[in-house]
Amino acid sequence: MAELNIFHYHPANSVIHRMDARFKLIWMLVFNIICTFASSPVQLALLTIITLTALSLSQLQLSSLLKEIKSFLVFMVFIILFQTLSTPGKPILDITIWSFTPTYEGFLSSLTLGWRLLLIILVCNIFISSTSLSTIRNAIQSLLQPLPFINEAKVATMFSLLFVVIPVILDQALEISDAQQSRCIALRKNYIQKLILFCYPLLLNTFLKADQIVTAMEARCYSEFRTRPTFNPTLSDWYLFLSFTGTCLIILFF
Amino acid sequence: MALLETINLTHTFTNGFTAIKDINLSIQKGDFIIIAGANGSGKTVLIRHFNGLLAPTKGEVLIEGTNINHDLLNARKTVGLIFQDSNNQIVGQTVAEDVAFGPENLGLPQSEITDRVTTALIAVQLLELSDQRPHTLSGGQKRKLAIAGVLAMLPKLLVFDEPFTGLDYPGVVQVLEQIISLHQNGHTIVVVTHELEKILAHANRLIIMQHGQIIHDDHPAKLINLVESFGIKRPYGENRGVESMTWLS
Repeated sequence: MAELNIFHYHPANSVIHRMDARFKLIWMLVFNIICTFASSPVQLALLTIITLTALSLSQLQLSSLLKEIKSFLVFMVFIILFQTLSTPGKPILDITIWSFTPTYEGFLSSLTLGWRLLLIILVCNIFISSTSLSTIRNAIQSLLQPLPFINEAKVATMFSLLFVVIPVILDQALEISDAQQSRCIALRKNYIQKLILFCYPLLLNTFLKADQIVTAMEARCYSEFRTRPTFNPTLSDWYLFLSFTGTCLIILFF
Repeated sequence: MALLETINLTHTFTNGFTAIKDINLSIQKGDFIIIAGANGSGKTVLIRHFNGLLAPTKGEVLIEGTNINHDLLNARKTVGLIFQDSNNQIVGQTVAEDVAFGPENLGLPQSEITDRVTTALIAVQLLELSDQRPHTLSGGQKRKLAIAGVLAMLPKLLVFDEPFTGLDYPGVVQVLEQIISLHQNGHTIVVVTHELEKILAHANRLIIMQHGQIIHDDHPAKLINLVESFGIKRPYGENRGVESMTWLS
């Protein structure tokens, strides 16, 4: 069965798990923005300390988080290699690969970029690993509530349905692909025709499925005036939120 | 007073096809009804009128004497519809969240939602799976989850559309036991199926549909010998009694 494997909630009873999801979401956004602007190694080192503190408070294993983001790590290695080879400057070695020369400047800037990306990915992963999808949905709904022209209930429902429907569509895609493979579609040479033959039933099924889901939701009285999620932030939530966010903001002006 | 009544119910689609025509049906509290008929006989179109998912072209549907158009919300609460494909009915990210979907739509307080979810999950024996992702459940469990999602809205009438389709033997038994238990607990049951050998023994009425019309509506024992002429397989055994037509031993 298909699943969205990049999103994994690891249930636990840590301070970070118990923390009000709205605070976590805001802190994650603040952290990511500051990380984008951080350029000096001192700033990045301080942000790393914050990340490791959050990680330790969340009781999540660094090794398991790194395992989950291993595909990102491979991607980062490519970025570092590309930037090292493509940035002009003082050569590290006297070698040239297809007219590209590795430079000190390129290596240092790619390390900074990689460090930044790693921190952002780790913090996002800590957030996702410590917050269930339904709680994230409720937090988004609660944070969007004061904003004008945005129907927060609709956004929350769409967020919810996304994670329900995508695995079903992926299953269907797999089934269609298997059915076509068993009828020797591989022998066809025209890739565009193969794509059309795959997409047509998939889209048809997806729209039919969407129609059936809407009917089933209607049968269960779906409306936008649903029971709203409630949050009760504790003193410890406020303390954690203010200390984390405050430290991040101080780092920005370091 | 009938729990649900249809009077001259007719539905014609925009392409001119008349799916059901002049259906007069009365469902009493405590009934256990099987609606059978060949594909395209209008069974699914009929039951979609029971809670207002389809509006009649002609005629009306009454719930406890009131036209459902006057109170559509009450119709949706009173008549719980369990669809053929459970995947289409599941919208929550966990089992408990999916069951909570209906009560949340009704705007109930959180404490009542929690109570209803727990009660519904206990009723279908899925309480221990409440934090599991619905996508990972077996076919039978998914069907039970769909039932729980409807039960949480406290319906009086439960309508099952082809509840055994795609299920293996244990899955059929699980769902069948669930349906019978719901009937014993006071729910009125309507099951749309042509797999009579699995459930007919438990029904007190068999309705046979053909070309969008109700042809027969009587006790199963009186109709069982007629079913094959309407495109429905009679369970094996010429002299076999209706009371043996169940997959429960």
